Amino acid sequence: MLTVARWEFFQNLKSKTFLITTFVVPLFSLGLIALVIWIARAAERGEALQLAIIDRAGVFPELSAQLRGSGYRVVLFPGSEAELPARMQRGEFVGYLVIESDFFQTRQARYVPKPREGLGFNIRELQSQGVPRPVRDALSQILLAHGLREAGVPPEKATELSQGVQIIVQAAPEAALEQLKAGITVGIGFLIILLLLFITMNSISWILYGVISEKRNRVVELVLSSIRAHDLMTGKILGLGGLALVQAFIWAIVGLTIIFVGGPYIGLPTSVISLAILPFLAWEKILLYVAYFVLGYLFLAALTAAISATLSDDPQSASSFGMSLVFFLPVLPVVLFSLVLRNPDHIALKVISFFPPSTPGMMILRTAVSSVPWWEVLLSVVVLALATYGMMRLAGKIFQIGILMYGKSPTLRELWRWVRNPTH
Amino acid sequence: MCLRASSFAQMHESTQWGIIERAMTPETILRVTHVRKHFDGTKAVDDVSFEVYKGEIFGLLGPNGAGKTTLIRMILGIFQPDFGEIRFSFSPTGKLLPERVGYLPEERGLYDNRKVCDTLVFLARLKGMDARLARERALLWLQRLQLEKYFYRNIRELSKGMQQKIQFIAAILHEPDLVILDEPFAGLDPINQDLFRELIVELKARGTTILLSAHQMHLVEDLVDRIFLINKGREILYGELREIKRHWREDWVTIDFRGDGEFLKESALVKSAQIGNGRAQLILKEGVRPEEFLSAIMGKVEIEQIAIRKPPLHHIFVEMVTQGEGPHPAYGTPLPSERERGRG
Repeated sequence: MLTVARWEFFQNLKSKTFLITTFVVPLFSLGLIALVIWIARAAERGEALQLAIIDRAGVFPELSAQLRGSGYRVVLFPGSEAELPARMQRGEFVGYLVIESDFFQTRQARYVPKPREGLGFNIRELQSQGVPRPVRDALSQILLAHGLREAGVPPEKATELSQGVQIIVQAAPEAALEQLKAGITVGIGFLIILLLLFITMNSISWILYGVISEKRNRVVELVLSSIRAHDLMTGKILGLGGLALVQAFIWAIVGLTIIFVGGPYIGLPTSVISLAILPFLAWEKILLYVAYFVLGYLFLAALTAAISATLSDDPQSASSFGMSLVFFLPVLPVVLFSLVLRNPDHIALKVISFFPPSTPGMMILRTAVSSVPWWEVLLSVVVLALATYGMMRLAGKIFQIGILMYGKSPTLRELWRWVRNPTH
Repeated sequence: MCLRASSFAQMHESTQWGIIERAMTPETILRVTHVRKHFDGTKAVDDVSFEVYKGEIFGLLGPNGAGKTTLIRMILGIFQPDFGEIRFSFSPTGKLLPERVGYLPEERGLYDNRKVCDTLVFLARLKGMDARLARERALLWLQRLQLEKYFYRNIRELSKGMQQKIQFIAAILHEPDLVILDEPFAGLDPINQDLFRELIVELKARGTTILLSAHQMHLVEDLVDRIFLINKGREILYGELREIKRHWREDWVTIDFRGDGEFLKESALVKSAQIGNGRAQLILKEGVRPEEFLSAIMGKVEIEQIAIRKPPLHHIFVEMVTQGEGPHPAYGTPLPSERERGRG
């Protein structure tokens, strides 16, 4: 078994796939994130959208002043309205406003957006289909100020009164820090789950690939003449699990280095982050997480080995369906992340916490955001341990027979028979 | 239906005092007793018993789907028999010791994305061998098969025949007592078939016991000491090949002649005949002695050359397998003249 574990570990460590997933993929992802941030910042600094205005009521100077810094700019259009559609087509304006001379009486203005082109999913075009909110607000303020002046309020006072309320958010500094810390703690909990999930997924995809190719190239027959199928399976699970750990370790080191060395340059609150990490460094938490991770990993890896041993080339088979479940179930806590944040003790979440493939993620998340009773934690570990033991045994039986079956995938009934009668 | 040739013939042993003849009980290395295996109601192996003797080449023969691979997998502990026992003499408990057995599977392959040296060392390590020793021996074997330049190469770069040689090395690298070769000649060109044949003979000379399963009867015939013929999971023929042939009461006669040989086809003594270009290839009816046949044709044609022999294993195999249930008419007590010959 250890020979197999060592073989799988070192052979895959040397493989191109490992090097690519360890170094190239994260670099690529980082690059992608940087690109997205850069695009978002560029968009923020982007030019204001330009509206034409045919102003017959003389509101242009006031409107133009109001819209400063709003992302919209109005341009006084001296020509006839008939010319505007063509100029909009050329992209000069995203729409135009017509303010008639009786604007202050009718309190009405007309807005014509640029007709949509193609499928009409251009986000900038969609944004300007309705009357832009800053434009609407500015016109309302102009009307209000005008009304106040009419009512005899001095002009400066009228302008002042027409301004909306301004709320300055001010929180106590300690509370803000605590909030930030709590937020980061949850964030780190989430990151830990993601990391563990990634290790697990990575490793089980190696198991999946390894088992399928061993079955396809028939080398398994030779291996099984030397060791028991169960040892082959366990060796694979241990070796590839160890490999995934190495990969996670590399990422964690690189990630932490980037955060603490590069973080201050992009304004990350590194001192708060280090404070927020502290609660995760308590030995009982580490022990608990290790237990959850190891058990959860063994459960999923055994299930994967069993399913991949029964996989055939038929993508419609039950095994293929089973494989997609393996990838979905552990991700459940991530999908339910916001629900866990709002109500970590919801009964449905508690139930999911005791459902083996979801237990590690769900419990790590719940213990990070609320104080889960100790008996619940203990029970979840016991349930997970028992389920894992059962799964390892069950998977061993299925693996043993499935790995030597060439050509077709077994039916569920056949699988049941293998489990009951593993002497094949 | 189960036919057995008389157990062990007299064996000769050469000593410094000359050739002495003595009855010898061969040492059994593998004993299969009443083994059965069912898959989903199908009897893959049905009450099979045989013994493999130390140092011999034992042919496990049978048509496709006869149960050979299942039997081999049970011997190797990959499957467990539903019933019956498989015992090995090299283990004190009689149980399989994987490190003492080598295997070249019929369904064979290698890791396609690994180096030759790594793969061979890994497979030897699984057999409990020291990594350094495995490496040294692997290199020696590769040199022997002129593949040493592929030592550090990826298996993907090797041709199918080369991969088969690597698999053969993997089967014997740990110097097992018993080697199971399942279809070792399949997919090989004639040159490599000869090479593999040579290697098998060499293994035997080193004292390794070989259980050989193959479909190339002409190759098997030259190699094996004893055979076990299985069909539909059941034993149909078992024993020493020479004895089996002796019990085969059919003779094959090849005659080169001058004159009209057409009458041979009509002869009551002949089961089947192929005649052309002055040569007749005849199978005599069961129980017809060659002398009887000779005197019947004397004077009717001018015989230039005549050869009388027992049919090849290929023929016996086909006859036995296609015969179905019941004893084969050609298989029984040796003819009187043969008994004479056997004694000599």
